[in-house]
Amino acid sequence: MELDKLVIQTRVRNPWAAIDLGFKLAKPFWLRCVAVYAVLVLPLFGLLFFALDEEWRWLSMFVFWWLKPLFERPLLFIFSRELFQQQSGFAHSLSNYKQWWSQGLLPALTYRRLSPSRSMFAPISVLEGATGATYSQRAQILGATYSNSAMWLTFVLFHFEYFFVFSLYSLVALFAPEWVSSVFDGFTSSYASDVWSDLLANLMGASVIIAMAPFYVASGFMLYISRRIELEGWDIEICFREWLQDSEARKLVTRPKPKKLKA
Amino acid sequence: MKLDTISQIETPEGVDLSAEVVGLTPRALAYLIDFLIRIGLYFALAIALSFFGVVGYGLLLIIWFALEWWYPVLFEYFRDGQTIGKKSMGIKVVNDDFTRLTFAAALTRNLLRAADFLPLFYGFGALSMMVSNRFQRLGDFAAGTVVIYAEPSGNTNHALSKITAIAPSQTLSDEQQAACINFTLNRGNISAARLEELAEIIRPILPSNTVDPVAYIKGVGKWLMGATSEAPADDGSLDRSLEKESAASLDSGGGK
Repeated sequence: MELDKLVIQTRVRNPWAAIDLGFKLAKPFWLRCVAVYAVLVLPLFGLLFFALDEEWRWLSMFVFWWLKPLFERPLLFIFSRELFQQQSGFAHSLSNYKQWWSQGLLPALTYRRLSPSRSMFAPISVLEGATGATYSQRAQILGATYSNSAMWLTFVLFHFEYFFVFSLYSLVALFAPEWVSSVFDGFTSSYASDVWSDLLANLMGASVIIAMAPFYVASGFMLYISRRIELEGWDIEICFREWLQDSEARKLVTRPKPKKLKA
Repeated sequence: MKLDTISQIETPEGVDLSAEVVGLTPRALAYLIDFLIRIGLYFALAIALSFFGVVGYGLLLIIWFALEWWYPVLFEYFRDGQTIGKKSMGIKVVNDDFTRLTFAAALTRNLLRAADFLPLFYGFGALSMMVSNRFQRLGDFAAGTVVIYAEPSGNTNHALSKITAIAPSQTLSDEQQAACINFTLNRGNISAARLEELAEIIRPILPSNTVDPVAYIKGVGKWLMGATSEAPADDGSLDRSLEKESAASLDSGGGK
């Protein structure tokens, strides 16, 4: 790990500030993350949507939602590399799928799926490759004072996903011309009238989930990183290393050694 | 320039000020707390006033209006930028030059909550906080305000009585001082093994007769805290100024 390459300011933060930093980190890579996420999820969603009968169509959205931890993995992969200034573009992150897709996937999609701190603990299995007892131990150490905030992060973003969907619906309802809004009648009645308005309604929901994912993943990742900065003294290490370099550089310039001061 | 949530401004006098701005998640939670308080008050009063018929109902409507529109304005103006929810999240509103919130600003930012609420459930407000650089919602832009952490990311103070203060053998830069002090305070409960590993990094530049580099650096940290602060080290003011210093100097250091 080359700590001097970190793109974030290395300092001890409170967990809330770590989450805020995640929102900042997400922005420069937002488009790439959204593209990767969409490329992975939309074909699957489309396939299910058209394959299933009308009464089972809701299942396509449910499967999408349940598999979120899987689709968040390439995002985490991108952030974890870009954090140390290692490029990980759209094609790179997809073609290196072996590095992110399999490790600890089963627990992530079963008994850990509903864990409210999953954003913060995902790096433990995806990046550290820890499983079983090692995972629990790491989660306990890293979670300490942080898992609470990770839970609230999930709580807040879960709600804002819905808020944004409602916002989007109401914007369409307000501004769309009459002939378009007739297509959207599906929103107001409990059963969508036809396939296309149903699809459109679902896609609006999907696009909100996809657009929010980078923020969620980056915030959880920053909680994880902040805790490690604190736990392992990264800020101190960076400073000490620079200090050593400086003093060695100064030695090369050859100056008389300063007199030692003693306490 | 490294990514951070610290916002820095320069006053006309040429003084640099910095503060840590607050993003969507903690602010939403602060709002939730305030919201629950308002709802609780409203229902309590609704039950009490239900005995007074039409007059009671009229009063209730006025109270609802006051709670909805004046609760945040008055709290933020009179309680140094903090509603109850903000206080419990450790955050506060200030003018965007980090001065104390003015009444006009408090009024403007809260009247414009109506705009942030659009199209539904604070959709625009949340979006604005997510995309803007200092996490401002529309009302913040209009009023020229930001929300910051009342206390910068906290250091807990540990007992330092077992450590002997040692004067450093060379002049230390701001960030080196901060690193030594952080090492001494050990906020994250860094393990003993990791502390040793960190100390070994700079062993070559420590005085050659140092037996225990961990104890030495801790000693220097303690000496620095004693030597640089006028107030006792446990009041937090030192931590704050050091954090600002280190944030500022690390910024310039990051570029090289």
